[in-house]
Amino acid sequence: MTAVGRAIVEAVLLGAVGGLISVRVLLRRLPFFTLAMTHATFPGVVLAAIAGVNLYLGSGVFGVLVVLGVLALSRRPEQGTTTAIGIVLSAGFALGVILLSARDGFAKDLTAYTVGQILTVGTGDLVAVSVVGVIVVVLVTTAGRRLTFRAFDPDGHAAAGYSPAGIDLALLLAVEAVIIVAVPAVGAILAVAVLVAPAAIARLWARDIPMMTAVAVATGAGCGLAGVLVSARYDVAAGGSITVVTGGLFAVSLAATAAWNAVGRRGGSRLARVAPGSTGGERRFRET
Amino acid sequence: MNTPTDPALELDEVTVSYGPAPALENIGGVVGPGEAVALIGPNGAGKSTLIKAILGLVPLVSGRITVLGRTPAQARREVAYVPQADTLDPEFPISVGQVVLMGRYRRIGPLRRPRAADRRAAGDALEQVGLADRARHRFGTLSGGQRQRVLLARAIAAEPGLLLLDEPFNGVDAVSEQALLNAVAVLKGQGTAVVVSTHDLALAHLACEEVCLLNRRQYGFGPTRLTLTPDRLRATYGGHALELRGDRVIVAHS
Ligand SMILES: Nc1ncnc2c1ncn2[C@@H]1O[C@H](COP(=O)(O)OP(=O)(O)O)[C@@H](O)[C@H]1O
Ligand SMILES: [Mg+2]
Repeated sequence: MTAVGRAIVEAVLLGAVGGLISVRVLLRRLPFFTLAMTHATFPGVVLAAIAGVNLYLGSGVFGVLVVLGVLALSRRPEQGTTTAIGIVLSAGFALGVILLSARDGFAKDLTAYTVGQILTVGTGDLVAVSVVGVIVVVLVTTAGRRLTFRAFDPDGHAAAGYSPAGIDLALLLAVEAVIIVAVPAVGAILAVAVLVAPAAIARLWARDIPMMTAVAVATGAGCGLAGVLVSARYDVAAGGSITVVTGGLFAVSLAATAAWNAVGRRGGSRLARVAPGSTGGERRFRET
Repeated sequence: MNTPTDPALELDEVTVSYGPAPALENIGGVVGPGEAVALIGPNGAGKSTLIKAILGLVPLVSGRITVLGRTPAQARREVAYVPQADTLDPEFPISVGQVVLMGRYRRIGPLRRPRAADRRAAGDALEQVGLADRARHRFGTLSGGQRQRVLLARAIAAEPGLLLLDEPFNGVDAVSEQALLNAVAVLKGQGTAVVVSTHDLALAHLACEEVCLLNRRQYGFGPTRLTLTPDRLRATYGGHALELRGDRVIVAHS
């Protein structure tokens, strides 16, 4: 396979896996959490590179620590949580930059770890994203109902006898795993586009979760493919082009569904609306 | 084991606290199968806290709660909880039918798909609250009262021995209120015990054999007509200017 061929496979696989998990991120109102997790993962990637250990192994271990930290933070009262996330977000990124700046070839590495270098992915990277894909599929098929229940009605979920901590941990670990395998393709910082945007686009068009999931997976894969093609054609960074394509599609969807609803109001058929604060607003992660 | 004559719920000197001061102190009373108790008290009195304690979601500092002859944690599968509908996100992309089916999740288990019996139970429950024709509608498109009925249907689908409702009548229209009351009456007829927190005294008279007057501590627990007296209500709502107009408690906050 050529480098471009591998890049296309990587981007499509990652887009599909990201699309699948993004639905759960959005329903659970975790976009901002996810953003913080990507930034907090960044120094782990750098540390793994400096230590010379396997990138996935190194940042995986670090990522588990990030998840436990996020869970601990989310137990704190609501007001402090957003502030704490903001601090973790910038501090994590800064730590990564400091660690990197102590090395030679600083600028090149910084680019690779923050926005990715998809044309350099190897077969190992494709295997990694496939393995994480299987994990996410297993999670969503076996625990999908519980994830939905927990997101929709946290109190009812706990009252039914389910452990909130268990399902939260499973979801956060899956999110972290996707962030880590997204690093070679789109970098730690742009990973959030893969993990949030497909569901945000799907939410505009879909009425229910199965349809939303299908649209998000197709959108993620499609944007990955389009991003790599744009990148190869115009010789621009693939991480950037994937993210810009996804962002552009979101803007177009927003305008199109708004127009559709304006027309459909008379016809009676309406697509799902995005209410500001309903899908974008953060909720405290663990309610007691 | 629990036999039909055993109480469905026993509260024995129940004390709960979140911080240094107790949120509930020495609450005690008994509710039999097919009986309903109304929890009455001002905002912050500890009604939701008591419901969460019965669910085993907040630990007791002292005292004991027995649900259907077992501990709250052990009994949870036979207890159904109805949250306040307006605490749920109306934009969540989920259908009415799917919400009701959540009441069956514990029976279905994680790996199987819902069976015909589960779908039938969910359909019957929706029928009982008068919303059988809305199964395919998105939950958020229904009115507040209808959403409350859907959440009650979810609880009915779980076939509970004990039903807990947290202020189910707030902001609910008359049609939905009647539908809720009818459905609760059917459940009671089948032997389900009911705990319902409310500000509505008329409702307590109408639907509940017993009342529990609460404001951190207990101001009365017993048969509705004997317990729901103006004096006791004033004591319960003490500190607020209180007016008993007909069957409503009017609380004027200073
Ligand atoms: N999770 C919590 N942590 C700390 N305090 C709480 C918590 N939940 C409730 N409280 C406090 O306990 C008291 C009783 O609250 P609650 O049970 O919600 O009352 P009610 O439902 O009667 O309005 C209030 O003072 C409330 O502030
Ligand atoms: Mg309450």
